[in-house]
Amino acid sequence: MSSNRIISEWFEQYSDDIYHFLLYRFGSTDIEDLVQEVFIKAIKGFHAYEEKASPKTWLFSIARNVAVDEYRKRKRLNLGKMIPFEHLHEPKSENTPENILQLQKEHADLFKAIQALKPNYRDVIILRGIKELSVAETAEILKWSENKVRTTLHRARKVLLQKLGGLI
Amino acid sequence: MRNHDHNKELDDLLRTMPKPNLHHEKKATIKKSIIEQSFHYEHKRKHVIMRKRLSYGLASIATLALFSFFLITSLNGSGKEEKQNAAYQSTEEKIYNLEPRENVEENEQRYFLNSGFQQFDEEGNIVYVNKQVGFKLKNLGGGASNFEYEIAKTIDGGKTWIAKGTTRLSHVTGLSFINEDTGFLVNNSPAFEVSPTLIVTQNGGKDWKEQQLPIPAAYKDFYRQAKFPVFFTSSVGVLPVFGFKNDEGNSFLYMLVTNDGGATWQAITKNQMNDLTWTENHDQVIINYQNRQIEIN
Repeated sequence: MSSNRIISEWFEQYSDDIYHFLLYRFGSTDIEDLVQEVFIKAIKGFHAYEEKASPKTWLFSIARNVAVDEYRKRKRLNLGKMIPFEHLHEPKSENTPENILQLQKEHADLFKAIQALKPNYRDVIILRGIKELSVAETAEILKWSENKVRTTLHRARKVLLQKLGGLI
Repeated sequence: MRNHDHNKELDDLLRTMPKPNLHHEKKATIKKSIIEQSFHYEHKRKHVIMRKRLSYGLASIATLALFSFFLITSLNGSGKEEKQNAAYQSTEEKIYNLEPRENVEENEQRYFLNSGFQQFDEEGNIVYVNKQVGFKLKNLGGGASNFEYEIAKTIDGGKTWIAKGTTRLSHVTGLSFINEDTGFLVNNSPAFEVSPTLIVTQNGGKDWKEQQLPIPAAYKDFYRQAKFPVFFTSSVGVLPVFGFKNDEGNSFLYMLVTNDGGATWQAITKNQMNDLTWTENHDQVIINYQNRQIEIN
């Protein structure tokens, strides 16, 4: 099977998973272009793809790299405009993730708390908590040891619970 | 208890966070663009490969000429160099204790961790007890700390694998066999008080039985995990157990040691027992037994 056929099949299978990851990673809905970028990078890197990794974890690891680059880019742009860091995730229009996701109160609070986490914590919470990937898969995606995944998840959950205060 | 409830509630909330699909029109647009880009990239790549092949062709003619020259001039000093290479290889094997082995399935040579008694692939999912006989672990899927694992056996060095049995466990990341019958898996389960436990077969992977392992009193209340036991002889084996103590992730290591082929295990919190010594290095442990050394991630 040709590489473009394979990538196109993977797009059908995994584009929604990648979309969820980026949606929660950025807390904004303008991430469709990033979904596209993930699969373009997959096309370019396909010949380096080792079949011992599952396509899903491979695509997630590309998405994570794309997210890290984009985060740096956005941070730089926003700093240039002198927008305080804490306003980076402020909704800009009615088309907010909260509206699109039609979040109930508890989920909306959790959504905000996740956005306030530092990126490493956010990654592990999205992959393990929301996407329910295994420790081994998460370790492969983040290029961490399984021990580090467990430790970071443990800390991230603790911070999340603190941020949610008495809400849970 | 309250903490446990909060964690469970948080996990449930996370699991049930909405997961909307990409809008179908947007999806179609992105897919079209990806396919276009893919064709464009493939075309460009083929072009580059053609050019490379052409330059390789020219280069090989030049190499052939150089090689003929080298062959004639090097005949005198060849014996000496062979000796030097042999010395270099033996040092390298002693340090890393990795052995190349043909992975028939993937048609490539991979390095296997060699204890002098067993050979493991780097992930610990394949173990060989001799040149021909090996066992392989495969996660067939599942979720929520309940996965189905299949154990397959090869008697022809990995050319063919035959499934021997399956078992449902929480989280297993490797296997170990000491002969054609006796093998071990390590189950890392949410059962905090007993985890990790050893899962043992005495009939080549068909049936499995749980065996509890000792836990040093100092580490009873903390998170612990282990991968797979490594044996240096049919009786002497080790199982490193890693864990962390608190929110700051202060990690610890203790070693489970057997001297009777896995029937009984002793938990050692020092870094030495009889001929065995070990040191921790970040996420790795380096274990020495007599003149052998292996590194386990």
